[in-house]
Amino acid sequence: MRYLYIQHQWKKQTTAQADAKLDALQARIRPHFLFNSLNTIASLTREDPVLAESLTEDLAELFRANINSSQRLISFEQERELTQQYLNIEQSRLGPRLRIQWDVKAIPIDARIPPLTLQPLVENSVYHGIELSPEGGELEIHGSMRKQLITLVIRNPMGTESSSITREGNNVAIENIRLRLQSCFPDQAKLLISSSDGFFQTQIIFPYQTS
Amino acid sequence: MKILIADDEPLARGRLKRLLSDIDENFIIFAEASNGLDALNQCISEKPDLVLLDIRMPKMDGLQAAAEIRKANLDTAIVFITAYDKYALAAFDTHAIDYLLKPVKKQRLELMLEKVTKLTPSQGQIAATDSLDTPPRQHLCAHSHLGVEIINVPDILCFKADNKYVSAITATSSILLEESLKTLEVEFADQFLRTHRNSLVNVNAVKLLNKNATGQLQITLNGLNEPINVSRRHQANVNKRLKK
Repeated sequence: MRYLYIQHQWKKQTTAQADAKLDALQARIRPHFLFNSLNTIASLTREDPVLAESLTEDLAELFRANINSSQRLISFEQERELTQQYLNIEQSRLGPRLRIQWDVKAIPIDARIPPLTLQPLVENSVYHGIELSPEGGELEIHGSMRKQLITLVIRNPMGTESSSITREGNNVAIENIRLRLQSCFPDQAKLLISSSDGFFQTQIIFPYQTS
Repeated sequence: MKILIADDEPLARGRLKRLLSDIDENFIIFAEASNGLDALNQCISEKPDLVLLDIRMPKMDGLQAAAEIRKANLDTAIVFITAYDKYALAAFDTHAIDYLLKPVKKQRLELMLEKVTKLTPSQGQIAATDSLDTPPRQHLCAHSHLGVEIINVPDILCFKADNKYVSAITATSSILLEESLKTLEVEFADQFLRTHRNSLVNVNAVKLLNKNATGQLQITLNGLNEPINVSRRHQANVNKRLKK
């Protein structure tokens, strides 16, 4: 029995890794995000060419990260930078409706994390929590470390969206991150989702490792 | 030509406005609507010849706004604009006079304008977007000679059918709808529960389920004085759903 279980787990993990890689190549960037970003850049080429230029660079970096995501682990600093580039684009698009609170000073910049862990979770928050609210809302990204365990919390007001179709897509992204965390930090990482008082919260917990 | 642009992103509205003015500087362009509800209200007050509707917007999405604009009996031609939304594309494919993809090209806008000017007013309207792929509405609208009345679906305590009409009742108001209880029941199955041949109640507004002095099972709703009767036929289902 034990053998079967281990074999099953192993199989699950290898397919997960293969799938995760494939997904990373194919489904990372939401087409919705890509075309809206291009539209934003098209608008800005006349109104604010300098901003248009820098957003084009941000978009390129995001794509590069998506194509090169064969790396198993990157530094937290790199992931933070990537998430920031993503948020630069969304900020120009959504303006004052997107209010961002970053507080990740507690996380050592040399901590290792699977690439595209934080960014897609933040993207989910913007897509479901901020975009469909007329007044927008505050997106919080909070990091803490205790006993060599790092916790990242992403919090956003719950959207009013009632469509189940869009929720499904959300689950695929979350499941993908969960599997990659699991394969990089077996039995030491967690991804938790909760909602209360009108807020939606995703938490990732993983060990502080520098190599 | 009077043109209304509805999009929740100011930059997206700005670009369309610029492209349209480049095509014809005499166009009168309204580019302030940032959600479907604004778009509907402005269509009613300004009566534009053409409205460009983004699909994914807060408050009321472009598809519902289109259906309500049509119900308001306006001669406004409706064109959808979307970044990418495969479900929405499927839903309006057969109804729209045109749809444009972001970022919109100037040549594509010109083609669309040609199409719109060739149409007679009645052709400019689209059929109701009653596709099963569209999510339940967040607002219901009643169109009368006084204009449009709008209520939030979560504020509705119950729907009551009376002969031809169905009323949607909130704690402070009620509006008459020209839809059947049956279609409302299907659309809002997640939030509303059939209690009787002539009523649906909002599950989240239920305060109490009990029997009155004559043994009639009834539901008391938060914000509504009069209790709602539960018929024997729906008793089992009501009990089951409210116990959860």
